[in-house]
Amino acid sequence: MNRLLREVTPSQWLARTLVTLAAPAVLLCSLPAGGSPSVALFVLVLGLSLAAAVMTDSPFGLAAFVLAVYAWGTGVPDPMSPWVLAATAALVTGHVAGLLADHGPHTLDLGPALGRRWLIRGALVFAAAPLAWLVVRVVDDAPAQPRIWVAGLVVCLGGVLATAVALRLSPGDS
Amino acid sequence: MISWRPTAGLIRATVLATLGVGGGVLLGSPALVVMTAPFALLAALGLLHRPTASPRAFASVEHTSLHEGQGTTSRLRLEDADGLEHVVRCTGRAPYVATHPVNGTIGALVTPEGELPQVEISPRRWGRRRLGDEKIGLTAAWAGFRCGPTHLGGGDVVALPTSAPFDSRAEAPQPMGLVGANRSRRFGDGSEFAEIRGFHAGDRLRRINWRVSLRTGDLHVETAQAEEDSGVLILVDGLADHGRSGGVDGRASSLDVTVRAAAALAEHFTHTGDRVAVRVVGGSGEFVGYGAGKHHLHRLLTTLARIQPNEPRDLVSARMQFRATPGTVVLMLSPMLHEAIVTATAMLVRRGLPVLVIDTLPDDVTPATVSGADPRTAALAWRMRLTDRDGLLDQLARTGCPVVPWHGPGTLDAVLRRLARRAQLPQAVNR
Repeated sequence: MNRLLREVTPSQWLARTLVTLAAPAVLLCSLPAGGSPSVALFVLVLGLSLAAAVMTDSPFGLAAFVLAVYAWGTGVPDPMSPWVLAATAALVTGHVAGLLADHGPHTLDLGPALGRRWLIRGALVFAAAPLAWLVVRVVDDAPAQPRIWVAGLVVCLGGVLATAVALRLSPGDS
Repeated sequence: MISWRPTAGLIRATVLATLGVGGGVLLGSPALVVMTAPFALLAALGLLHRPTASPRAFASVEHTSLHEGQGTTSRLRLEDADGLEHVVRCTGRAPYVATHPVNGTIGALVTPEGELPQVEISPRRWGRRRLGDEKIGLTAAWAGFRCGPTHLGGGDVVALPTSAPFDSRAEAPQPMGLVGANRSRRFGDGSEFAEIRGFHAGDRLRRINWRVSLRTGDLHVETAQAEEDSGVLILVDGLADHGRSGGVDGRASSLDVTVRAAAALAEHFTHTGDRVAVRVVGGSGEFVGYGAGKHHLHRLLTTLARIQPNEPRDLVSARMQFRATPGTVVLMLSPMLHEAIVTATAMLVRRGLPVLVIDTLPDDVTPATVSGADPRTAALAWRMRLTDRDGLLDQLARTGCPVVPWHGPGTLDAVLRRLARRAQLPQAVNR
């Protein structure tokens, strides 16, 4: 066990630590936004995150993220508080760290070039969150438009369909 | 051919984006959409950069034959690898093979020129070295799809022994060849002055010494000693390996000393123009006949690199074929711990050949013991074996065979000169 821990490179330690902290950080961000996640939920999310950090290609990370997002959606009185952006930043950081850690075994030194590339990519994709937050703020002040939800549902279903088709057509399966 | 499959990251982003956007729309919670919008983007980009072809990977070592301690590069070649962004190579550990990076794992982004990460490899001990199995992992742009890990299998490298520093200025005791650098006992066209004698029919005119001829009134000529090459037979004891080898930078086992010394001697005598042969006693019993030149030296070194310590069942010293022709200098490299080797050496001495034993047992060698053996008993047994060995070496020395420990440059000078002086004297030889 000690040998295994010694083999982990510093960059992998960093990436896996970020994976461990991301989902619990979302729950912590809900505190200033008025939420009060239970200790049991926090421990569960932390445990799942820890498992995800050890087994980077496992579904534990997804489970931790889903729980954290669900807790935010249902447990925070003002879910559109600016703290949602901090929570999203934590999620994106954890996801990108997970992607990086999953590039190779624990003995792989990720290297500055790969880290830099994904730092820029992470920042770019995170920009979608404040954009969506601003749009929601603007739309919230406008008169109610029930059709927007229908349009959103159609877009969502379209996205799911496109994803399913794309995954089925992946060259590995052909 | 390797196939692409979605990464855990792509699945995570896709499911999270679907649940977030879908849940947000169905539950009327825009916060979920805000939180998962970046994941929708990441999933879309990952899917858009889906590679279209199945890549093929080949790994090869730049040099398959090199000296221990030298380094080479293991290169990766990929075909049909469009859309590739990152490559990871993971080389397994193999005995006496050092890699850079030390853990054998290297990953790098693929450059626009298609440059792939290289693993540097260095065999740390002579012999045939099988490199550790290699696995590779390929990741597509935006980490949406991945190939591998796929096994590529490890290649083979022949690590030739490094020739230990060695030099000798002594000549072969009984050179009996054609053209070489060793002074012969017979007269000929050499450069070394031998004597001045009266002119005989057939003598070359340019050999006439005019001063002596004028003084004596008769023609006199200067004669020189012929210079000939010599046959050198290097006998290598491959019956056992005593001690633990730490590779080229660490402690040397008896076989390490033997093989490196043999390589040094072969290199030295080949460079001086002598004909060198190598016979391995034990192991696979290989023999490389007499020859000279660079190619022959490479053959000798490759043979030495192939030695695997092994004692044949039917090892009888009387039946050993050494193919030592008259005038051949026999160099026996051995830790002299096997009776058959000592007997064979004594037989060669009795044939009248100049035989020199080079003791290759390191001073600090400790014997390998079976697990559970009492260390005090093992130490006592080893001391008794060393005492036996000393007795055998004394007996050998009494037959007129010098025994010298290997210590690099100058190891052979004094004894070869002594053998050369002895070779001038008449001898009784058992045939």
